[in-house]
Amino acid sequence: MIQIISQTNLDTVLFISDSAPTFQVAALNLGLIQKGFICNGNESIMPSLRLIKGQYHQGIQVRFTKMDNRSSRYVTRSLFKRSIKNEIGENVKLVIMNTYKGKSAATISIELTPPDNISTILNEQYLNKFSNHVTFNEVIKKVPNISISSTIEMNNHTNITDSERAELKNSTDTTVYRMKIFEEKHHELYPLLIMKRFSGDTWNHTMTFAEFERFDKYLHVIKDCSFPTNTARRKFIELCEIFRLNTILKSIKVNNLEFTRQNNCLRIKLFGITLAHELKLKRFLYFDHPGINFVADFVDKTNMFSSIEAKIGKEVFIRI
Amino acid sequence: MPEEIRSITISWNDIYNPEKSYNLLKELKWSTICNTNIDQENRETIIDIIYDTSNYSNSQKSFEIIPNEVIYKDKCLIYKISKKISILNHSDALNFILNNCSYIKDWIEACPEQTSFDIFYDITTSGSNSLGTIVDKLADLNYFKSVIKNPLNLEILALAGTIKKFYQQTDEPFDIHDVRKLTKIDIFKDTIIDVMRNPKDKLENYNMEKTSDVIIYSHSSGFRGIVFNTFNFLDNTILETPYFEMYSQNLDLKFLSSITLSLTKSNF
Repeated sequence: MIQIISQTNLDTVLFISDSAPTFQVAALNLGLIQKGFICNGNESIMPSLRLIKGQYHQGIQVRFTKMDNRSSRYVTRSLFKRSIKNEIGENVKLVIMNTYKGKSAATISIELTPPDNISTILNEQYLNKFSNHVTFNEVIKKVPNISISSTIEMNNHTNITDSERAELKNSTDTTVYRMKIFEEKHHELYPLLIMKRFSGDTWNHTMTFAEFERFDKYLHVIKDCSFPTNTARRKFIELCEIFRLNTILKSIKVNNLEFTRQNNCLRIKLFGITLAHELKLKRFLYFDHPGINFVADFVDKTNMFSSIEAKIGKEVFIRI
Repeated sequence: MPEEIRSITISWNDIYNPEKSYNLLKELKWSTICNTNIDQENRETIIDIIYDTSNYSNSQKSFEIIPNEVIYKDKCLIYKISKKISILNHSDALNFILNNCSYIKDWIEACPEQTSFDIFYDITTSGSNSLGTIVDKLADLNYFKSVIKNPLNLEILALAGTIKKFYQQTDEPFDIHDVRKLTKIDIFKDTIIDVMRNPKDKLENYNMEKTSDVIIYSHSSGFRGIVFNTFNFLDNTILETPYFEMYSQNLDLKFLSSITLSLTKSNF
């Protein structure tokens, strides 16, 4: 819930309840920035409890002040911050920064901390489909924090053309839409982020809203993925070994799948999520590596084998 | 003036005698080897040499004294012992795999011909070694021979080598670097075999820990921040992985880890 507390030509004071969706709060901030009103960081934000329609709402009171054109907008500084714990125990921190790299821009980021106990939101049956050998104990089932962001160029809004204004509105709307999708469906990332642990990468997961949108487009296939057929698994592992042992290509990207080779080690990424780092892969023909089995079935279900082979062949041919 | 060519005959049995081996090294140290001839029938090797103290640097020739077993190279005697082992011939080790490690079982069934491996041990004695050192080294060699003659020791080594071959998928031999580490296995072989026959009782609640006792250490992968853990057994790399937790329930690794840990404590 968002409610106007006071409004003048110089500032607008709003109450934002903790239950207000993050994408709405971000949209509000971006809209006000485009109208020349900004929140000036912590000094403009204070915790608040407000009685609305006979019910108390926990939230924050935020002052958006008319932007002073003389003040430096060409420095990186934090504009707006909100940290809430949602009904399932996830901590969601929204940060909007003013950034400047040649052009003024706003960076919108969400830092999401999953709850310690994710059993209520995690589809364990889905995870168990990929391995008969790995036991998903409490240590393995820990989901890393997610940090997702997007940057929107913010031209000097007083002197922009109509087409630039339309472009700005379009990029803002796209970002807000992607945030909405992320807010609704980020749980679908959890099984893959658990599988990410098997690659040895146990740190926070960093991605962009655009990457999440690509992930969302393939969500129906991802949900349908299961234990790969023996043929698919063998074919995928053979392709991995061919790439790992090649001496010409260091990296290759086919659609959302990325192979990178460093020394004798192969890294496999899908939708920007690292799912394997391995020195030797042939044992995974028999021992179920959840990440490799998942990618093998995904590649099989999206008929990507021939594209990968063709891309490797083409890239090698170009470099010879 | 160089001396005339003369022949020395080395009986194959003598090469394992420390004193005779020591004397041979001393003799060859100041000789140029002209020709060698192996007499399989009489189990001896005849070497034609020229004794020449001024010709030290020219006497680097390498030759076999006992085919595939002892060679002379760079003024050293290199003794090699290699034994081909297949888990298919070792019932306790095979049953352990069949009953507890379905992934290795699947591999054995799919590629039985790939499951055999060589267990390997070698020593090098040189002219600069004292007689005492050569006595110790040859004693280690003979001890290794006795260890691999014992069927219970072979069950343990067959299992360890098969586990290594499964995870590494390599034709490298199972190399024994320090024969003294085998001594403890040899002493506790009955207990170890007992665990091998009833692993679930002893190992179900056993937790492999990342400690020096179970010899797990780390090295960089080349990718920033990604570190591989290496699981070793008898100085052989069994498994390299960036996330050891994935294998923490594998009874095969628990078994090897428990042997290493118990032997470190000398209390099985």
